[in-house]
Amino acid sequence: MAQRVVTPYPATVPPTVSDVSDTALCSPRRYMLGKGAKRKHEENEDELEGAAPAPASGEPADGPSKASYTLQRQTIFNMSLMKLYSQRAPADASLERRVLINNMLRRIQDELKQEGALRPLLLPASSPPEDPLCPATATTSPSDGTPSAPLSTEAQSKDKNGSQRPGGSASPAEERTSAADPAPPNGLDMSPSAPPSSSPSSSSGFLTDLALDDILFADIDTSMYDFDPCTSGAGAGPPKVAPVVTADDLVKTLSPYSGGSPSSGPSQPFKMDLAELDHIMEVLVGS
Amino acid sequence: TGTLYPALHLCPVERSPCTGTQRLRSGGGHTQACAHTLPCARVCSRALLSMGEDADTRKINHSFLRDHNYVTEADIISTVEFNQTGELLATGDKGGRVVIFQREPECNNEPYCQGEYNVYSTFQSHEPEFDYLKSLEIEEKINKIRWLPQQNAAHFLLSTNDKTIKLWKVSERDKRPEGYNLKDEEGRLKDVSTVTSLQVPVLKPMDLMVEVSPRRVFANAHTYHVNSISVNSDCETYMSADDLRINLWHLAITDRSFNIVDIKPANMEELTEVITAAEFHPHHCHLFVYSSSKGTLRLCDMRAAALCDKHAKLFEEPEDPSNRSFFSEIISSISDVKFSHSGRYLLTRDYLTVKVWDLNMENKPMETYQVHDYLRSKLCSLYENDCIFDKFECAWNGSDSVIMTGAYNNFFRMFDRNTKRDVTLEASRESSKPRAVLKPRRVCAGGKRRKDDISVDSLDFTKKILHTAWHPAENIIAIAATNNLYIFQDKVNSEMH
Repeated sequence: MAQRVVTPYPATVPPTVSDVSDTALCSPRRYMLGKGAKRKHEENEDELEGAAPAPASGEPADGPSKASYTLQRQTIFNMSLMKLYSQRAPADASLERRVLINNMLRRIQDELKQEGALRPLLLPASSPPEDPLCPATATTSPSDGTPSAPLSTEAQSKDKNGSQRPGGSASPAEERTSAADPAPPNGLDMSPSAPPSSSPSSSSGFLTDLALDDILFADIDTSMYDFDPCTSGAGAGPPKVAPVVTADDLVKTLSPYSGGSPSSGPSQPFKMDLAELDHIMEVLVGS
Repeated sequence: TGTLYPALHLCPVERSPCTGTQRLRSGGGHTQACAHTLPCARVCSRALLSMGEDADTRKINHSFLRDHNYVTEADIISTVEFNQTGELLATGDKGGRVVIFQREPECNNEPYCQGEYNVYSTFQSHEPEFDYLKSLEIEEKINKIRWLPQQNAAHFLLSTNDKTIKLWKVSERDKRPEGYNLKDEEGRLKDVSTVTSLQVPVLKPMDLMVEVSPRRVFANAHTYHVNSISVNSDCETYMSADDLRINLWHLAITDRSFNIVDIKPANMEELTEVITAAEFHPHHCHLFVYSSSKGTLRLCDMRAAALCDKHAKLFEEPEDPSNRSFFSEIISSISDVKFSHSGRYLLTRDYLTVKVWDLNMENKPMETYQVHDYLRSKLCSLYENDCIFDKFECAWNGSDSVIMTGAYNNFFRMFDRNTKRDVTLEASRESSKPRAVLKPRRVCAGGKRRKDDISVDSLDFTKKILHTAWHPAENIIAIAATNNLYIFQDKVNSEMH
C-alpha cells in the first residue's frame, strides 16, 4: 500500500510561515504521496489501519496509520519545544500561549509515557497492531488535564508507571542534568522565587515529574532545535537539515524512556519503547 | 428590517485624523505628539443598506483614500469601543494612542451625510515603560478601552495597556474667561501698580476645544498582562483581569484594589490554565463572568464571598470526540466573552466558532456558529505560524439578534440568530470604492468553486480582523483591519431616525 512510503520529517512540514495552506502535517494523505525513504519497520500496518484516530486532521474513518500519527505527534512535539525555547520568541510573550504550548508538550509526554508503560504489558511487542488505547490517549480531557476516562481502567499500569519516578530521578541521566544545569529553565515560571516542584503525586501536574521534565525540558540542547524544520525543509527532495539532529541526539533526549528505572518496575517495556522511538527517529531523520 | 445582510453600499470617506488635533488641547502633556504621528490611513466608511435608485444622487463629498501602503507597528489598531450612546467611538493602537471619533449631527438637507464619524480627539494614553525590577519592557499598546456611562457633560473612559489602567476625562470647551484684573490676556501677572480700576471677568465664546485630561492612574496591581477591563453597572467600580487574577477597583481610588479571582497556583509549574477575558453583568452589579484558556466560562457572584474562588456557574461544552485532535485545547481557548445587552446570554469566541450561551444552561451552548471551519484541517500550519493563538473578539448587535466576529483575509462574519443566516463580508480598501456594494464573500473549501469564491489556500493570514464593535442601538459597526478603521452603516436603519 502507498502508506509504506513515508516522507522524511522535514520535508513533510509546511515550508514557510506564509504557506498556511500547506496541509502536509494535517492531511494523512500527504504522507502517502510524499517521496522519501521506505519504511523498514516490520509492523503490520494493515492491521494498524483505522486503529489510530485522525488526531489533527479531523478526518474520520480512514485516518492516518499509527506511524504517521506518531510522526505527526513527534513533529508537533518538536515544534512546541522550539516555540517555547526559540531565541526568536519574545521574552515577554503571552502567558496564554506558553501555557497552551506547555500543555501540548505535557499531553504528548503523557501519551508517550502511557504507551511506554502500557503497550508491552498489554500487547506483544512484535504485534502491537490493534492498540485500543490510542483513541483514548490521543488527547486528554480539556477540562482538567488528566487523562480521559478510558485510561482510568489502566490505573494499575499507571501505578507502575508512576513508581518509575523515584528510580528515574536517581538515574544517571538525571544526575548529569543536575550537574550540567542546576537551574533548569521553566517555560512558565515567571517568578524566580517559586519553589521547585514538590508534588510528584499530583495527577494533573505531570510536568512535576522531575525525572522526565528536567531531561525533556532542560537537558535538551536547544541549539539543536534552532533549525526550523518548518521553514528550512521546504519542498521535496532529501531533507537538508536532517543531519543537524541525529537519531542519537534525539534518542538521548528521550533517554528516560530507556534508562529510567534501574531500581523498580520492569525495564523491558522501556527497552521496547526505545526500539520504537529509535524507529521514529529513523523515520524522522530519513535514515 | 435592520439586518445587515443584503448588498451593502459603501460610501468610503476619508477622515484625516489630523483634523482633530487642531481642536485638541493638551491632556496630560503627551498630546502634542499625536499631530504628526497619527496614522493617516484610518478609514471611515459608511455602508448603506439596500440598492436604491437614489444611489446615483448620493453625494460623495470627499476624495478617496490617501495612498498609504506602509504600516508601522504603532499604527495597528488594538481595540475599538463605542460609548453607551454610540455618539462616540474610541480606538486604541499599538503606539499607545487613543483616537476618539464623534458622530456628526444629522443635517436635513443632506440625508446621506448624517451620522458620519469624524475625529473628535486624539491623545497619547500610554507610553512605553521599563520595569527595572523585573527587567521587562512594558509596551504602550492599548489593550482595551471602556467608556463610563455618561453622567454630565464630560465623557470618561478607561484605557489600559499590559499593566496600567488610566481614567481619562474628555470634555469640550467653547468659552474662555476674559478680563481678569491681575492677569493679562496671555495669563501673565500684571504689575499691580498699573491696575487702576476693577472689572468683572466675562466668558467669551471661542472655537470649540476638546480637552482630554488624565484623572486617575491605576497602577502596580497586575503582575501579568491585563487582558480585560469592565465597568460595573453600579458606575462606581470596575474590574481588571490579567492572565491569572482579577482585581476590583473603585473608580475614585487608585491606591488599592481588591483581588476577586486568583487562579495562580502556588507552584507555577502546575499552571495549565489562564484567564482570557472577563466582563461584568450589564445589570447585576454583583455578577461577572470570566473565560479561560481551557474553554470554560465561570460566572461568579460577589455576594457569596470576597474572593470568588468558587464560581456560581461553570459553562463548559464537552469535547466532541469526532473533532478531537492535538489542538483541541488550543482552539477551545476562549478569546472573548460578552454579555448580551439583555444580560440573559453570553457570547464567546474561540478559534473556530462563536457560541451563544444561556445563563440558565451550563452544560452546552444554545447556539454554535462556525466562523471558518475550513481551517480545521490546517490547524497544524496555523500552530506552526502562531496564528492559532490569535485572539478574535465578538460583538452583539443592539437587539441581541445578530452577532459579529472577525476572521482572516480582512473578512468578518455575521450570524442572524433568528433566521440562522450568516454572511461573510470584507473590509478592504479595494472594495471600498465610492458607492461600491459590499458584497458577501464566500470561501471555497474544496469541492466545486463558484465564480468570485476565495479558495482557502489564498487567504491572507496576515490580514486579520480581531477587533470589532457594534453601535449600542443602531446597525453601525466598526471594524479594525490592521491600521484601518472601517465604519459600515445600515441605511434602512439610519433612515428611521
